[in-house]
Amino acid sequence: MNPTDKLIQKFQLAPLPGNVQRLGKLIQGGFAQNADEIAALIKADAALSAQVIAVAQRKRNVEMEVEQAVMRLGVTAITLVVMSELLMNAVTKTFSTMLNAPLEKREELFEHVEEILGSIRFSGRASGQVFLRVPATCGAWMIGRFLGEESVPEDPTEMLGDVVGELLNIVAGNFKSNLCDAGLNCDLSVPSIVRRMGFKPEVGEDQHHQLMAFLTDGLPVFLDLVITPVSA
Amino acid sequence: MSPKILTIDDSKMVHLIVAKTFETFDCQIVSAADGALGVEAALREKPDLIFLDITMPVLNGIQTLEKIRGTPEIAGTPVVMLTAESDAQRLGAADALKVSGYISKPFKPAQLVELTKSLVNLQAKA
Ligand SMILES: [Mg+2]
Repeated sequence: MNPTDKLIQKFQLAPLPGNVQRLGKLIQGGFAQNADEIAALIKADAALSAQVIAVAQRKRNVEMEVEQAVMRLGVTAITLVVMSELLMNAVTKTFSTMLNAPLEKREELFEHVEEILGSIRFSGRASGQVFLRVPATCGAWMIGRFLGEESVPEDPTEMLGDVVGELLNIVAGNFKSNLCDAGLNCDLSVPSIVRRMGFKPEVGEDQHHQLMAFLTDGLPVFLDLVITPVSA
Repeated sequence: MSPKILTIDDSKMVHLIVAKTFETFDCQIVSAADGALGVEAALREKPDLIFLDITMPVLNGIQTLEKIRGTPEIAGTPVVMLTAESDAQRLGAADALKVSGYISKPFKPAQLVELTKSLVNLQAKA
């Protein structure tokens, strides 16, 4: 057993997703040389396969296999898909564990309302930003979920910034841990919070953006991922 | 004597969750909002157990732990990491600094209680 697995066992933590670690190494080792192996790894994961094919088909609407989708998408898009899948797992796990609120993935967009927007930056071998947005009016719901209805303060909106910051900290922390364990070492900033309307992240020419929309208990939750591609 | 637990975390929400988790137990809960304040609080309060976050301003959790271990009056205090950062490097650093446990966020309150019971004398309120 390697030292990290020993520590995971000692502290009774959940084991790392092995395919992610392997994918990270393959992507870094050179996409062209490793494309077959990358495709095989993605194929072994049903959710990841579906996601890769969906993204490839969005670009060209024909039936295709994982192998074709991997070749069509190339290193940057594959990295983005893998990363957003990791982020999706992190946010789903965070909401169900901390708030007992399962997230449902949604494709459609919602009308703009005033939002609490949290942002956190990761930088290193992988760089980018993660944003988490919830309606500014959902303070009582969220704090009630965390602490129980009886513990909701008189002005829950005042605390909502802290709540969104911590949720984002947890989501991004899990994401960052996965990136590091995949060989993409990076550091995480502390979250910053603003209240605003109609958010759209700034995306540089070489960067990629993915928006993920969810619904929980009738409440829209958005996650934006902006990444700078990993250079091989 | 009822145990004293110090939570060092930059989120008020985490302080509230910890306080609520232990409200039915005979213990004292104190909190600090960043690593530097956490070291000060540990020196002042002499807690029996510290819950320690990593992603924090001023000093991160690992730097805070180094300070705690390097300060003779509090060096031996049991520390449990309570953090979302649990990659190999963070785990290795925390283990080398002799942590008593590692709880990965997101967490359930029951995990805090279970681990605390194994480290200090935690009794339900009479
Ligand atoms: Mg934190």
